[in-house]
This record gives sequence, C-alpha cells and structure tokens, in this order.
Amino acid sequence: MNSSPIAQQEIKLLTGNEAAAEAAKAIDFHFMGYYPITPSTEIAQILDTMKSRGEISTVLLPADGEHGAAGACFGASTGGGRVLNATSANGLLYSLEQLPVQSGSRLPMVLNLVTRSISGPLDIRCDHSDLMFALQTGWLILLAPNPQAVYDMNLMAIRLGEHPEVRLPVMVVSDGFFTSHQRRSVKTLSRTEDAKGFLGVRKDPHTSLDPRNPVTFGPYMNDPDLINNKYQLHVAHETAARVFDEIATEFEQLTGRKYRQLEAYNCEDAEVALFVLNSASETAMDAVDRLRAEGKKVGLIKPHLLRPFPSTELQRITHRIPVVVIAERSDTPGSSGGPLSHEVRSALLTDHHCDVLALSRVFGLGGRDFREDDAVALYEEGFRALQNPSEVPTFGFVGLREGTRKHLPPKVLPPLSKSDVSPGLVRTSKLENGQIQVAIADIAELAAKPKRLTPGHGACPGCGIFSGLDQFFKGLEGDIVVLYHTGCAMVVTTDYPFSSHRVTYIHNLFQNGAPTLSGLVEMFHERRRRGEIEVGEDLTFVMITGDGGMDIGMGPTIGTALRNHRMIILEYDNQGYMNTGGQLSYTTPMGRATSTSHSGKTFHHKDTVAIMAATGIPYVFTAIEGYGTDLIEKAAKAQWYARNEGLAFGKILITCPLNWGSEERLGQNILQNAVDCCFFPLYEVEHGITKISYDPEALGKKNGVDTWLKQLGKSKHLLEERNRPQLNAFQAEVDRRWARLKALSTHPLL
Amino acid sequence: MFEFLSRFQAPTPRKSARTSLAIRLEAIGGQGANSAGKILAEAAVLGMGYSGNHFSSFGSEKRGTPVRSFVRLSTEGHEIRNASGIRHPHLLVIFHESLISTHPEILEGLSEDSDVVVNSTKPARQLSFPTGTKMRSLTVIDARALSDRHGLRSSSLNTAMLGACVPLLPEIPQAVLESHFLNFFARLPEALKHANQTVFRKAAKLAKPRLVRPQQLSAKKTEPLSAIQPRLGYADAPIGGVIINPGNSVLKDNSASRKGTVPKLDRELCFHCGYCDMVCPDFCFSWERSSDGAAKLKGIDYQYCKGCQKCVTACPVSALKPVPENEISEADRNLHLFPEIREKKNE
Repeated sequence: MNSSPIAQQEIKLLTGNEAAAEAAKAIDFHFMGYYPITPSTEIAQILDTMKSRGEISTVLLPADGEHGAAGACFGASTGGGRVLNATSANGLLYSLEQLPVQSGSRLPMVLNLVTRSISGPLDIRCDHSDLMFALQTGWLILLAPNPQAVYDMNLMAIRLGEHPEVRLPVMVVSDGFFTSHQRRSVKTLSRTEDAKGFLGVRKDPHTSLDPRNPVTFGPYMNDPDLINNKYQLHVAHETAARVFDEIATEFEQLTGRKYRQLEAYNCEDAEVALFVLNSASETAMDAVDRLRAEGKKVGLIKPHLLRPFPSTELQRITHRIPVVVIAERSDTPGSSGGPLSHEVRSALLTDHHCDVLALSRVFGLGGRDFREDDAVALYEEGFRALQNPSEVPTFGFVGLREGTRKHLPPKVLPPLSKSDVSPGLVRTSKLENGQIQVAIADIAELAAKPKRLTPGHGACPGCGIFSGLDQFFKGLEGDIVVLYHTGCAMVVTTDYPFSSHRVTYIHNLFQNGAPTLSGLVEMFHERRRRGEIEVGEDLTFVMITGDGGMDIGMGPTIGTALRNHRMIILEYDNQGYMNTGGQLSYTTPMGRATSTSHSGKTFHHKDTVAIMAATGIPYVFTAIEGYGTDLIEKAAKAQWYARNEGLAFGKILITCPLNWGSEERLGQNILQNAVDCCFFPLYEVEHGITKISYDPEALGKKNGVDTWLKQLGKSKHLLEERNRPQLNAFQAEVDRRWARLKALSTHPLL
Repeated sequence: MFEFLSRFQAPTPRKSARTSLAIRLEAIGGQGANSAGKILAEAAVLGMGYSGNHFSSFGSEKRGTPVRSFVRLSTEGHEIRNASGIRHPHLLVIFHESLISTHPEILEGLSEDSDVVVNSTKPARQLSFPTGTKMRSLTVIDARALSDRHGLRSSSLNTAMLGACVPLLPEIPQAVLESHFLNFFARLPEALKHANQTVFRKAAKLAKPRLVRPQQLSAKKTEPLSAIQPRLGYADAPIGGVIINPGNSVLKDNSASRKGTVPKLDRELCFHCGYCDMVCPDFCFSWERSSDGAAKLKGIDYQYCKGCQKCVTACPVSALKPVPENEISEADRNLHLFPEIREKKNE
C-alpha cells in the first residue's frame, strides 16, 4: 500500500453496486445481458442511467430471465467484445447450466455475483449459498470484501480472464446489501487513458464475427477428447493464480492498492486465525484489533481469490497457526462442515508439516448480521479448542435461536367455514346455447363475506394488487388453493412468521408456478380417484402471478396451458418488476420510464392475452377492478371452466402508485382511463371466440392514450413535444391492436 | 411514559470530543432515511475528510415498510471497516413517532450517551417510550408540518429531519451539511431547492435538544425489547418454513404507513353500496347485519388503514372524507375487524 501510484484518482462515496457500475463505465463494455434480481439489479440500473446521460455506449439487454441473460452473454462473447452480467441467488442458479458452457468454451466475460441466500424459503438478504454453487462452474472467482475492492476486482477481472494463457470468464463476488448497498470511500481512476492503458484491448483467438475465418463453437465431444479439454481448463486455472499475482503487481503500481490471493492480517504469531469471506472479514478486522490490544494472539485470513483456490498460499500462512476457525455464510448439509471448510482442511492436510486444528462454523445465513462481538466469540471458541480440543465440536452453527414456545404467534383466526366460502352469492350455470351464465348478488353482500386474504399485509399504500385480487376472489365459490409466483403479492403477504392467506397457499419461483400447480391439480384428482381424500364439492386451484412471471415463466406457462389442466392462472399486470425496484418488464408500455429504461422503454408491450389465447385453452379474459361486477363475473366463469373443462387465464391491470408515479387515491380512475383509451380493452376469448365486454368507442368514450399517460409520473414525459414520435408510435400500436380486436370480435369464427 | 425535569434543560456539552460516531435513522420507506444517511455520510467523508460508511437495511422495495439507515464515522481517519448494522447509536433519528409503538426494536441499544430525534406532532412530554428506555437527550420536531408549510408535499421528511440533527452533530458544521444536502438536490427546480433549504435551516433552528433526567429512567424496570428476536427457533418452528397460522397478519399494525390523513365515515350519508370495500387494498372495512338482514357498513379498522384514500374517491355520496388522524373519535378508533385478537395479543 506504500508505493506511490502513477494514476490520478478521485475519492467518491460509493456503494458496492455503484463501484461495479463505475468500473463498468471505465471498462466500457460492449454488451451487458441481465435480468432483475435483488440485490444485484442496481448495477444494470445505474448503467442504464449512465447510458441515458450519454456517458456509456454499452448495449444493455433486459433478458427474459437469467437463463436468457446468460445465453445472451455467451452469444455476445463469441463475437469478441467485452461482456458483463450481474446476478444474485436464484438468478445464478437459473443461469447455472450456461456457466460451464461459458468456461468450457473459454470465452472471457465478467459476472458480478452480488451474493444472496438461495430460495427456499425465499430470503433476499446476503449469504454465500449461491456462491457455493459457482465453485463447480469452471469460472475464476474473485472476492471483493468492500466497494473499493469491487471497483478494483472488476478492472482486474478483465485482464485476468482475457490473458492468453487463461481465457476464462470471471466472477467478481461481493456481499449483497453489506457491500452492494454500503457506501464507503472509493478511489476511482480519473483519467480514461489510465483505465484503458491497464485494461488493454481484448484479443480473441477466434470470433464468430469473422466470416473469412469460420470456426465451430461448441462441438459434440465425447471420449476420448473431453478429458483433454477439461485438463486444459485445469491448467488454465493453475496458470490463473500466477497471472493474478502479476496483474495485482501491475495494479498496485497503477493505483497503490495491493491485492494478494489471501490477505493475512496479524497471522505471523497468531494462535487462532479466522478464515472468513468478504464483508464479514472486514468486520472481523476490528475484532482482531480489539483482541490484539488485549494481548490475544489472533489473526485473520481474507481470501481474494476463490477459484483457483489458493492452497499453497493458505499453507504458507497457516503453517505455524495451531487453530483455524473457518466461518462461512453457507452450509453444505450432511457433510459435517461448511462448504469451504473441506477445501481449507484438504489444503492443510496436504501440507505435511502442518498440524492445524480446523473448526468449521456456519453463521449469518439469510443476512443475519455479523458484528464485531460475533467475531470475538468465534476467536474465543478457537482458544477453547486450543486448550481443550476434545471439548469443542469441529462443526457447528452459531447465532441460532432455540425458541421458547412462548413467542409462538397465537392461532388467531379459525379456518374459513364452508358457509363462509360458499355463501351462494355467485351462481354459474351453462345455458342451452352453451353460454355460461353468472348471477351475482348485491355487491354489499359480497363485501360483507369473509375474505380469503387478511389485512396486515405489507403492500404499499394504494397498491392495486389486493383490491384486484379480492374482487377476483369474490367471484369464486367454494374452497380454493392458491399458488403465488415470486413477486410483490407474495412478499408482502407471507412475511414470516405471518401470513395474510386464510386459504392454503404455495409459493414457487416465478419461472415455474404453472407447472407446480399443474402437478398439484393432478395429484388432487388422482388422490380423489383413489379415495384417499374427501373433498365435498371440489377444490379450485388458482395461480397468481405478476407480469414478470409471465416473462421468465412464459415457456412453462404455455406448456401448462397446452396440457389444459383444470386450474386458473391470474396475472396481475403492474407493468414492471415492482418487487425488485421498478425495472421494465415486457408488458411495460413503450416510452415508460423505469429503473432500467430511464429514457423510456423502446419496444411495445407484450400481448400476453393473445399468446395465452393461442394455446387453445377454453377461457381467457381481461378485467380491471371496478365498481361493477365485470371482474367478479369473469372470475366465476373462469372457475366454471377450471371445474369443467380445463385451464382459464385472466389478466387484470392493476396500479402501482410507487412505480407508476401515480396518485394512490386515483387507482380505479387510472385503470378506467387505461380501458377507455383502449390500451387495455376488456374482453373474453371463450372457446376461441372473441367477445368485447366493454366498448368505449361505441359509447363515445374512447380517448387518446394521453388521457391515461398524463396521470402517470413515469409516462407523462411522452406528452412533451420532443417525445411526439414515441407517443404517436404508442398511440398507433394501441389503435392497431384495438382495431384488430374489434375485427376478431365481429368475425363468427374468431 | 417518559418523565422529564420540570423545566427542560439544554444538554450539557460533552466532556470530550467524540472520535467515533454511530448514527442510526429509523423510518418508513419513502420518508427519505436512506438519502438522509447518504447526505450525512457524504458531508462527513467528502466534506470533513472523516472516514465513514453508510448503508440501509430494507425489508423489501416497498413504500410504507420500515427502513433503517446507518452512518458510522471516525473523525480521526481510523479506517471504517465494520460492515454490520449499528447496535449502539450515539444519535438515533426516528422519522415517524408511531414506529416507537409499532416497532419498539428501533430503540435497540440506546444508552445514557444517546441523543434521540423524533418527528412528532406531540410535545416531548407526551411521547411515550417503553419503560427502561435510556437516552441523554430528546429532540422533537414536527417535520411533517414544517415541510407542508413550505410546500414540500412529498412523503419525504429527510430535509426537516437532517436539519433537526444539526445541534447534535458538532462534528459536522451546518454549512458543510447544507452544501452536501443542496448537492443532493441539485437536479430539483430552483424553487423546490430553495424550499428545502428553508426547511433545513428552520429545522436546525427549531430543534431544541432537551436533557432527559437519567436517574428517573434508570430507576425504572428494564424490559427486554424482545421484538428484536425472531419469535420462533429451531426447536419450535414448523419444518419446511410452513406457516400454520392462516391469516395471522391481522396481528400487525399498519398505521405507521400513513402520512397523517385517514378516511372518516359519515354514517348519516352512507347507504352501504360496498364500493369502498371493492377498492380498499388493505381490507379495512367492517360489516354487520342490520335488523332486516342486509349488509351494513359498520366502520373502518384503522389498525390496517394506510391512508391511500381510494375509498374516498370511490364513495358515490361523499360519506368518506379525508381527515387528519386526530379527528377520528375514540369509539371509531376502537372499532376492530377482529376483536378476538386483542385478548390474544395481551396474553
């Protein structure tokens, strides 16, 4: 740290995500493919902001899921330019299949893994359970314990991955929230020529964009060749350790900051050393200082390189240390140690001169804080082991709570009774002409009926989801089982140990809810056929998804629809990924400003209803919450079809005051304007026949889209003169779809 | 209930200058605690050359859910490395008074060395804290009213709350804080920027930290703030993360999500159409049967109302009107959708 740097630098107060984006700006990536997931999404958001200001030219591709994002990055990297991705938790797992393809093809790129606990249960906070899945992918892995390291490691990752003897993709790993959302002083390179000089130019031995030198990427390779290919990968990893040191030296000359494969803090004479990754290692340094001041001989081992695993360095550092405590934010169940404890122990074991007692401790899962006192407690455990090795278990969890049974949330509400759920207020019947008729009692009577959702949920004030869902549920008679995709409605109703569901509820990740529920539907019918369960009338199975789940989960949803299971899928469309901070989804209308489309979305909203109608399911509808019974009737019809014929799909538009920038109190009014301008027509497709439920044009109420857009803070910029072309394009698309819908509704076969 | 000296005293100057400073801001999403923390940290680090860090802890990306923001500073340049949350704050800033009752864990780690700033419409002596709460001084500011008075109508209260911290932060001169604060608002229109500046300065002037008599507080029995701990442990939580208490979110209190205005039902005008119930996202409306068996709207359960006013817009006869919270009668306040949970809560 003492050499004087040659680069001019400036001090900024940046979060880890901001530091990653600053580095990406300096690198000037050609391409980024990404998909929103907390807590890594900010990186794409910040880059989108930079792009909207003309500060970067990187192509930013919002994919349809992490699997698609990783595929887009793979494709882009075959083309020879610099490629970036950022993800977390299940995003990493969903893209997992693609990661060995990337490393096996020896195509460098950078992925910022902002660590987060993997589901389930779903937890948005930090641990390293996602990272541990990355160990087997063949990627190089750099650990960034603070925002400065995030910036630095991203720059170093380019050089390391693109080194001709390495040629590997690189993950830069920082801790979700603890680092990604923590502001610290970060020194950034002031002059672009300094960054450019360090980074050099990417040179690929082959690219897919050179027609005069055609090559085959990704052959079919069995034995005897594959083992040779994997040996090449092994050698590249071995080489990467050496190259890391070379680049680190060069980086130190440039910036004055030195990174080692493993940083040893006060380890020389240590009796107990703690091996701990990332942000917790920063906190532990304070504990080391405190204990050293008390005369206790403690040290700390902070890895910066995880792949390749720095075994030799570790052996050198721990050679004379009697006790090493390996503390990890992850477990590998059933293996009697945290995942890295096995690697550390095996490294120590191969050093024959070493007689280290290695304790494994799991801590801080799901974002549980790790404070200085917690680090001190781990050292104390190490000292106990030093004195009495047999009395201290080699493996254990710390920070557990046993529970007293005194704070159990009391069972507060009885289950809904048969008469609660089947009051007979909504009656459906099939008429002789084949039409489904719905008769509905007074709205006040429906209002007075006990609700399937309970208050106390944590949605934003004025959230449109719950009034929309409740109106839908008002139309269902009898017992229901619900499955919610990941999303706002899921997160705010199941904040453990609380639930806002009075009916049985299942969550699954939002690419896979439809198949999940289809499995349950079939289990229900099979168990009933075998006489194993008795359910008087029937159970109605309802899947609730946001529009995001209809992006990432579109394929599995279509598959489920094609199989025509007896269930309902209801999409609440708030036109974006609101649960992760308002990123664009494919249903976001053109021109809308979102956190990943600061200059306005550039392509039109997805017609999910047409896609679902094309699967040939018996019933499809659109609706909004209203003061009438339209949505309630459609819910009743959907239930009739789910009971008697197969899959029903409904889409309701709902308001998101937070991310639409709209007035909470005007929720229903805003939806009505979306309908009246024909952006969101109300219609049904029953056995393939289209029927418009409400025709604003015929009633003389059809307005321009501006009447709706002006109510939305995130769209009203479209009404400015300079944005006229975008507004006209949106209006033309709305009119085209409306005219097409009217044509469908007038044709007897469509 | 807190007891104060009969005449408020200004806090005595600290014996020695602080070399490290831990600040915790407690708020509801949308009130600006995260940006307030950011401004404080920027002023301290970039303006004063201290070392420091800042981060916030979010429940989720929702408006109306609790947010904590932490600022850790060292005035001697000692590198800040600790990445964990702040347990023992020197300065605790509470953006919404009702958090004290709905989320008592926000008071975690207060000691006789802690200064507390609270946004409240009430005078200091009417604020109630759990018994055993300790602090050095208490500053009360009506941030909402101050902001409204100068045309700052957004839900954000960070301007007024930052201003109120000025007397308690001798380490960061007002001018330095103000320049970083204005920097943060650089993209705002001139008039709005000026209004923010005015509110900031007025809050700094109005904020009068009062010494809280320690002996009276320490004489009281201390109750552990058990809400900090998760309620279930590995021995009693059902396996698989299953929740076996359907609908138990009715035990929660959403009142902290409000911004001071709630709907009030005029029973003379109401004709029980049910439109309010159709649009209410928070299921606050309570119904009963009249003698003829018809469904009649009984009232609103304010434990769950987040004050969105959708029902006010929906009501065809203006039987629902937006009013300040304190205009709701005691009887209306005590109307509960699930009266049975009150007893269970007190078990």
